[in-house]
Amino acid sequence: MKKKILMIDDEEDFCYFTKKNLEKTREFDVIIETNPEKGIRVAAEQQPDLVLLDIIMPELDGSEVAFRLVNDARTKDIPIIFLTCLADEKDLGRYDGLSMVGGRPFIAKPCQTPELVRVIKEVLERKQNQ
Amino acid sequence: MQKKDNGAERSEIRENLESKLFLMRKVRFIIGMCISLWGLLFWFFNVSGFNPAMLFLLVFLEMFINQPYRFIISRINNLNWVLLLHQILDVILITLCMYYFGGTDAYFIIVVYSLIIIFAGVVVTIKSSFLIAGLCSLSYLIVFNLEFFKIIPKGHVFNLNLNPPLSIIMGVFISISLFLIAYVSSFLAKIILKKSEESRDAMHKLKFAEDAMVQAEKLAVVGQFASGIIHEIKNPLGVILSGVEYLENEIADKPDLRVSLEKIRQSALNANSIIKDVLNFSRPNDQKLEIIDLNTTLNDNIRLLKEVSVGPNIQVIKEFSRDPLMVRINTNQFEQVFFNIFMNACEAMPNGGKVTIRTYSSEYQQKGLKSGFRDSSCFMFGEKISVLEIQDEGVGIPEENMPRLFEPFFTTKQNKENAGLGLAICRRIINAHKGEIEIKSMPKEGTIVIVRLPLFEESKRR
Repeated sequence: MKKKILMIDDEEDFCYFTKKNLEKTREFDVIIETNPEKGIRVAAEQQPDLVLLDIIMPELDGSEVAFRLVNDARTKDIPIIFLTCLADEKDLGRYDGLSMVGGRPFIAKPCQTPELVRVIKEVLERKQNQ
Repeated sequence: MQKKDNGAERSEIRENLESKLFLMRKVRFIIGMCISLWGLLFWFFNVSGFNPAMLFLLVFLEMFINQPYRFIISRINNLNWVLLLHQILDVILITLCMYYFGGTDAYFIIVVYSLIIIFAGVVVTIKSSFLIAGLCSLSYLIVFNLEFFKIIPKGHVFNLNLNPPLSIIMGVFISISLFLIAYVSSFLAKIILKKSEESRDAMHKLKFAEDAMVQAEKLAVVGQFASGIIHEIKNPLGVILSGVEYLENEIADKPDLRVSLEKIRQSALNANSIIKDVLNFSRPNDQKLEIIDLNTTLNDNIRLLKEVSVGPNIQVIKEFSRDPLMVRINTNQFEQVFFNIFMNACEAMPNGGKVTIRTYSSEYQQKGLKSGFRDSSCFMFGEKISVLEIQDEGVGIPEENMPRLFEPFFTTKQNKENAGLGLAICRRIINAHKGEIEIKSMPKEGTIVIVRLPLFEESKRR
């Protein structure tokens, strides 16, 4: 069964190709939201299996979006993977195969699809095992 | 912090004044000895009219002033007044000596007056020399007028009646006196020389500080815009790379288009690499320091580099110190420095060659500051340091490029991934570790990069 991923990122073109590349694996259905406020509502309504969340966005930054998702009973259990341009893999500490900052998994942009798929699967597996 | 700075400044000023007072004390002692020797000579040869008691009273007074220095200085706050008072007392004593040795006819006294005037100007301040010159003139005029108007009897002129033995002894004694004057003069000359060197060093420091400020302003501009620019550039790069990835899957049966896509991907990756360097350069230093053996870390790095990056024609020669070289560094940052310098060395020898990596401990010897291709350092002369040298047999660096080596974005390399930040990053990291980096190069002879870091000693551990 395909996993549902919600991608909240203001960069529309990046979302477009990332969706194409993830859906090509036939393992994921990807919903894109470039507006973070709307993204929060869609997360509550659609109940995705995972959220890919950009950090730097003009209207509302990723940390605020994450805060709201975690503090909403409907979305608090949805795992979040942060996407960041302001670091590379070397800067992010690796713990058990995942780059983590403050206990949250991170992916440095730009990222290759195989690596993105690996991280998504790893996070989903950990969520399932909890 | 302000209070501490003022306290430190006051302490420095006080130390300065104390050293001046002790110097005056030394000079006064020498003059006192000279006068005493004269007196002994006159007494020995029974020069008529000579009253040793008066002379030795003067010398005693002069020596007496010298004695309670430590007591006085430790109890008085304003040493400037003590300094001034001593100079005035010197003038009075010398005037009394002048009067005793012939009053205004004692022309030799001009020499002694000159000494204390020059001394005041060199050791104390320029204004002091004029003040003392004024006091000497006033004293001389007072004695002259007192003698002229017969208020006091004229100063006694001693009739020496020089015979051969006495004249020889007088000659020897005058020579000794002249050598004593030379000693005092050399003292003053050393002070002048020291001040001149300090002034030259200060000019160098000022020039270096100005250069550093210009660099810092450049870097501030980079840092200020770095986050925004990096974000704005990395996002489109992400689009390009993910777009290329998508299209590659769609045109699996069109190899010529795949080649074109590969070129697009490579250019995007090159741009990403440059952005990484800029990001690295602009972020603040994270200093998680560890105490490590430099030789061990270098061994690990060399092994890794040989496996991954170094061509087969590069021969790495290790000349490490016999003993461990303990340094306190951020290992990740140091590895970055080593990687940059090592790769530069390899790239300087496209047809292969030897890269020699040398480590040893030393005492810091380099005096003064040089601008251009060596940093200023935090090391004291004689401080124990650990030294890493990386030497290649490459083409060397042209003379005109040497002063710009650590300049951000300066590069002579042709490959497009190079942003020209490698050495600038190295310098920033090494400086943050309180070390210095130096590059020496001769065209066609190769280049040697020298990194100096403080040597960690157990006794300094806090």
